[in-house]
Amino acid sequence: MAAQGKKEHLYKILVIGDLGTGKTSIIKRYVHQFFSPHYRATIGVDFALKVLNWDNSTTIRLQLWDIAGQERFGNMTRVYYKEAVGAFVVFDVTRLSTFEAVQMWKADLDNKVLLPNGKAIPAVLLANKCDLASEGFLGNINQLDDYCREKGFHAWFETSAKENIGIEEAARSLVAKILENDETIDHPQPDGDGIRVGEEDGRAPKKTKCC
Amino acid sequence: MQPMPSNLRSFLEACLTPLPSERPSPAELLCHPFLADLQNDRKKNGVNFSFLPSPFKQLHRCHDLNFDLPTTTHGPPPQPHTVASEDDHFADRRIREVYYLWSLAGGEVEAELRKTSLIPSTPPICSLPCVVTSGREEHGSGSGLVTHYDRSVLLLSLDQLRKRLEGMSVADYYPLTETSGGTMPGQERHDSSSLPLAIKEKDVEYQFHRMVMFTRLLESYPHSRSLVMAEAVVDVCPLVRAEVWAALLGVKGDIQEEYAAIDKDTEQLTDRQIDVDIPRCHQYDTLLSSRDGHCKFKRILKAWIGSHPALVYWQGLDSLCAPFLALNFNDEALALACLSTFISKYLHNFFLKDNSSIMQEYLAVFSQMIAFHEPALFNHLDSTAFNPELYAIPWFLTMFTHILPLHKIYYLWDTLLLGNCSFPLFVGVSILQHLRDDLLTFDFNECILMFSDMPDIDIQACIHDAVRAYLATPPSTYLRKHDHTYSPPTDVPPEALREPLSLDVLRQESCPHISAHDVIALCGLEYHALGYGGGARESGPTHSLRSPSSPLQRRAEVGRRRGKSGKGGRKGRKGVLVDIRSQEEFRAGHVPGSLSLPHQLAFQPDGSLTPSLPSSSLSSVRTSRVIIVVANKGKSGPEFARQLVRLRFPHVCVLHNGAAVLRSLGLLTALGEDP
Repeated sequence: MAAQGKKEHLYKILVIGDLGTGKTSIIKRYVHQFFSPHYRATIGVDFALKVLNWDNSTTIRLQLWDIAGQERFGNMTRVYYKEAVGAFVVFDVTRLSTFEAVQMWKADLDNKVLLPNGKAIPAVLLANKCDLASEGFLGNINQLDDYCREKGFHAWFETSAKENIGIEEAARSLVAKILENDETIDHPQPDGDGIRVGEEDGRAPKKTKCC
Repeated sequence: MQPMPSNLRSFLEACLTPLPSERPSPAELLCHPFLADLQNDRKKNGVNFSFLPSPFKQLHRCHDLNFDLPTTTHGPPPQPHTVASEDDHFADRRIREVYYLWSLAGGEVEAELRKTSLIPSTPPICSLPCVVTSGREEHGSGSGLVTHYDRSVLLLSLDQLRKRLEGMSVADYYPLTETSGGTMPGQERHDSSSLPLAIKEKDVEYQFHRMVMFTRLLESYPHSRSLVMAEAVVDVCPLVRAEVWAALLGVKGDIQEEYAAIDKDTEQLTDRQIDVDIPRCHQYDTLLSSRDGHCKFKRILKAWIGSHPALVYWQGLDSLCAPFLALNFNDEALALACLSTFISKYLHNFFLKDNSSIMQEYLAVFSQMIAFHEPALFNHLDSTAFNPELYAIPWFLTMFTHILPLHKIYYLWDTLLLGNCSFPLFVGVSILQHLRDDLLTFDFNECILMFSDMPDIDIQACIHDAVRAYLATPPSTYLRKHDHTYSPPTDVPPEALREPLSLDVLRQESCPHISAHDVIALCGLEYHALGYGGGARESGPTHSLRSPSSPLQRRAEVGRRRGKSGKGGRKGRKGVLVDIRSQEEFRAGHVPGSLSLPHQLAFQPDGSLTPSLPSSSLSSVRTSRVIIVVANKGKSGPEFARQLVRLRFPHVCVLHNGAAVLRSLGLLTALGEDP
């Protein structure tokens, strides 16, 4: 239980993007401060948990859902997306095709999950493997800013799981946006058959607990 | 009596030549006029007649060894090569067999090399000079210029091995495999077959017998397939695992030719995926992580994709390929043939472009099997919304190769290959059983973390429990629409069988449905209607529903001999019928011996069973019987069954189509007419 007056949040965050873009590596770096060039492929979905001491009065638990890159072609994503409140969409700066797939992933996301107020869930675009980027691949930064505005991304970051670049910043940006949403949205009671992420040990499904 | 044709006579005489050196080899016999004539006759009549080729490569035997010894040799001077003396039974064996036994008997190449200092004791980098001047003068190196390639030949002494195998007779080297009566010589003789695997695999004598027997049988494969299976029920000799698996899978034909004909080079869209996946697939294995390994890996995967145009590459195919490649590292064709046969048998349509309906049905049936065997765990996982879709896809899509290291996969698949395509469901159940105590205390977050990093499990115990669970489950309860191998039992009224449930129903209902046919066997009933006599006569144990004594059943018996029996010894579980219709309906017609627990009255407001005579009878058999809920058509039966699962009753199922089926089979008796 949280200390007196402390708020606790549990947020489900998706990490999606084409296969081999480094989703699992980003998560491992973020959660375990560790990098290895060879994580086994993700089949279906994998998970990780990250606890953030956001400020003196707020603890945030991030439930990171690492979705297999190939799942975009499968029909299981609907199950995985349920009740997510934020997403990272990852592409590999060394492979143009993974960037082209970004809009497909984003469309899939918006198609299958929405916030309780009917809006798209906040998504942050990650340009991963920036340590390997050859000059000029990303075009100029303004272009990617425009791209994000156009496709409805909250923000974008250059990241490198290997060199530990940009991941913390990206996560803070996404979490800030989620918190902002959380305060403005009046939560309806989730229906019974959903995956009740906010709920722990079957207690009242309220996402914010105050003791 | 007809006189024997002369060429048959000469054929038989050739076979019976007493001196082995003068007896024609099988290859020579195939060219004998008798067989040639037979072949021509058949061709004339339009019958295609050919000898089944062995899918296995011919390997070098010791007497094929013929190398020129270089002038510099270490160790004792080479003995003059004794040309196949009659007593040298090693000469006729394959080189890898002798090496296998030699290693088991304590031989170690590295130690031998070290002994003769062929392996330098200092690492090569230490022999590099510290300073090299521009005039190529070297300073600070002891050995000067060294080349690390050494052409020396070291002879490994077989003395120790020969001593170990002194007691073996000629018959041990050449066992008879086709004896009448079906008992295998050797099997009874070596009582060590009931010892734990880890001990058996280190036992030189035991491995000698197993190796000799398996290689003997594999030489006459495919003819000997059933005999190979009978031996594999006991255990699999690691040396010949690759071939034994191929035999269990029924790989046949000229696979080398087929493999050569497949295009493995043209670039395809999936190449990128394969390139990404291979360097992260079982890379702790030195063969699979080698450069050569990666090339072979890619060729086999591309060949599979190329030869299965209706299917696609799903991530996980690489893991599935890994054990076959590791075992058949020098025979890509056999690796591919095994992979293809394996997938079509165990993962039919799992690699369709849209495989979700197949996958979802499999997972839904899996969920019901959890409820059937582990009700408490089912309740917990259900309440935390930790459902199989979140963790079991890699289990089944890769047949556990994604979550287990190779040495465990070998043991698991040794058993899995004896079973049908539903057996893996019970491996899944068994894994959960082994993690049960932790899982029961875990919330959703802890559950997902546990499965992200699969804890170490005792694979032998897990396999044992999986076989037990499989044998204790009536086959109709895990019927799947997408099971292409399912064929309904014949000589059974059609209404006694059941149809697969739709995906929606499967997901709504926690408990599996059971067919009347299985109920009749479980409860020792008999078909009354329509003169059907079959089925029920050998009723009783659940597994009599399966073909008499399936390989897995025999495997369970082997395990039992090992003394692990205790819980495993039960011979099938009997059933108890719980009739939940109203008392009036029960009185009007029920199966004698069934318990009457009308749904409206059965449970108290807190969900527990209302105390009554039938309910206490039910509680008293809760772990010993399969509980079959008999209801009218509708939601009542599944709801009742769900409540029993909430109360942690194991082995609960619902009679498919309910009381109506029993009525039409003439099994209902009015009260007072009980026999």
